[in-house]
Amino acid sequence: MRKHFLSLFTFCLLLLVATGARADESWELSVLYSPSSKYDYNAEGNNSPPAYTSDYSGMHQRMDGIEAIKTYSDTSRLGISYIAGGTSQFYDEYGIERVEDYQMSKLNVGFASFMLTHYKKIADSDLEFMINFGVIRQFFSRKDFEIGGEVYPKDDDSEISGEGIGFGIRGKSGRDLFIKYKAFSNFYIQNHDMKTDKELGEYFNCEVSAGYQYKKAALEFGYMYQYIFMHSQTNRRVYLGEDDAEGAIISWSQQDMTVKGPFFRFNVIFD
Amino acid sequence: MSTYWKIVLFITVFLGGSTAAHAKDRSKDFAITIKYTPSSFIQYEGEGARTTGNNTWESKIKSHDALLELEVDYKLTEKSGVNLQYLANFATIEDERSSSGLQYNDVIFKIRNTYLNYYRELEGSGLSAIVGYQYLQQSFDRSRFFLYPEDYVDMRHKEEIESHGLNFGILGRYFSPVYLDIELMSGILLKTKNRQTADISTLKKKGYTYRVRLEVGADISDYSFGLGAIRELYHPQVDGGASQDGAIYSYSQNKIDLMGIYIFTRTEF
Repeated sequence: MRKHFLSLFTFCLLLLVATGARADESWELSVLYSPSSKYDYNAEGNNSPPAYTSDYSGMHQRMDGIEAIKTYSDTSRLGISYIAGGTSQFYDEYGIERVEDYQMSKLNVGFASFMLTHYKKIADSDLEFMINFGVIRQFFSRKDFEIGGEVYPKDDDSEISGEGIGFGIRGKSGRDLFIKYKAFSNFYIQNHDMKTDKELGEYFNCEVSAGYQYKKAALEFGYMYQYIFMHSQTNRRVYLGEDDAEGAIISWSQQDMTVKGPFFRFNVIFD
Repeated sequence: MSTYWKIVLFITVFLGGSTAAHAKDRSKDFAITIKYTPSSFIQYEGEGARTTGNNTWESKIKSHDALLELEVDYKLTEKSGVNLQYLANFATIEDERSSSGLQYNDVIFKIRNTYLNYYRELEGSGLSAIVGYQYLQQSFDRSRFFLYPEDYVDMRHKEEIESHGLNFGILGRYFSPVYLDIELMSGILLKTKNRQTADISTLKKKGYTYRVRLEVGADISDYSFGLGAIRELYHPQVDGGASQDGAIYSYSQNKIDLMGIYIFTRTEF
């Protein structure tokens, strides 16, 4: 965790110093809510005994986000954003994970993305270029492991995280009635779950939305697609039974997740 | 250098660049650049799901192939242009070995990577934003499989992986007539394809790439020449994990780490 905060702190500091932060410029605050996004997850790994792949049924869950963007000049803005989802486990709602013929369990997957983004206007256009630095986490909550036909009422929570740098574009067309679009690709520089290999990963986010602006507020409706690919230490196990005879697999060397669905966003501008 | 300081250095260069003077305009409409890397460092790592009980978790190829890059640059306006880049390696027969030492085989490993980029200047900055399309081809011609301790599988297998991707990045040039060029790109492979089929199909057929390029050159009239360094990573995921008689000849995870120092010449028209 300390490494995360060191890097984030340095990034903030460099941005603020380099852009010459002033207190008299405007802020934009956005709140995002998706009542039902589709969470899908797959994994594969180097496990023994041979049970190499994980197949997840997928499930619909809510997704929430917030972003604050400060405008420093006509051409530069700095944003800080947080978007997350995966809270169905608190309502005892799970999907099903199947590990070939070896294992089955209830599984809820979630994610959290914390981003710092520098927006820079692209010449003679409505577009902004984005450079971002972020921390991505994936969460896994498993329970009721079934191995060899026997169900073990044990649960396990695990998470993996990575730090990434990325680039993208964002644009808005129209004034009162508008269309917004955004896409960025963020590759991980550091993955904190790898002990044997130095590995990378990917976080891709794209969205399109349409909305209406009234004075300083706007409401928009859109669709977002996110792809998260992450490596981790493979073949970690939870041991089950009275003598810990059975080992349920809870980690994989490669795992991808997609989160996609419609969303509402409410924007307010503070001068 | 720790990852932490690499991040600091990266951000410092970017932010420093955003306020630096854009020393040299690319005043000509059309330019062709040829880049040659006499001896690159290419590391391939294949891993992932498979259909055999063979405990060969990872496969590695390490080669020092020469690389050739061809770049065509066309300015559309004062502040924007398109750029086509093609990279290929001169493949030779290499050893492919599992990290466990349980399998090794011969392989001819080819890389063909094409970028078609649109770039446009960032306002008040010496940098340009890049949005581009990537077409990546990897091909493997594997033969002479040896399995620990003494088995030999007389098999030859050809595999070709194709990927289509989307890239975002920045591009900048500083100083004149001796100049520094930088290019940073991050991309997603939106669709990958492996012509072979596999019994196991798990991860989505996607992937990711990144590219870092630094170049120091000198301009003499309409010509430029100099030295550059390139680092690229491609990681497509495909249906893989195939084997025959215990010999693994295909992997679902195909990661390529490529780097090298190149010489280049550029002609403007």
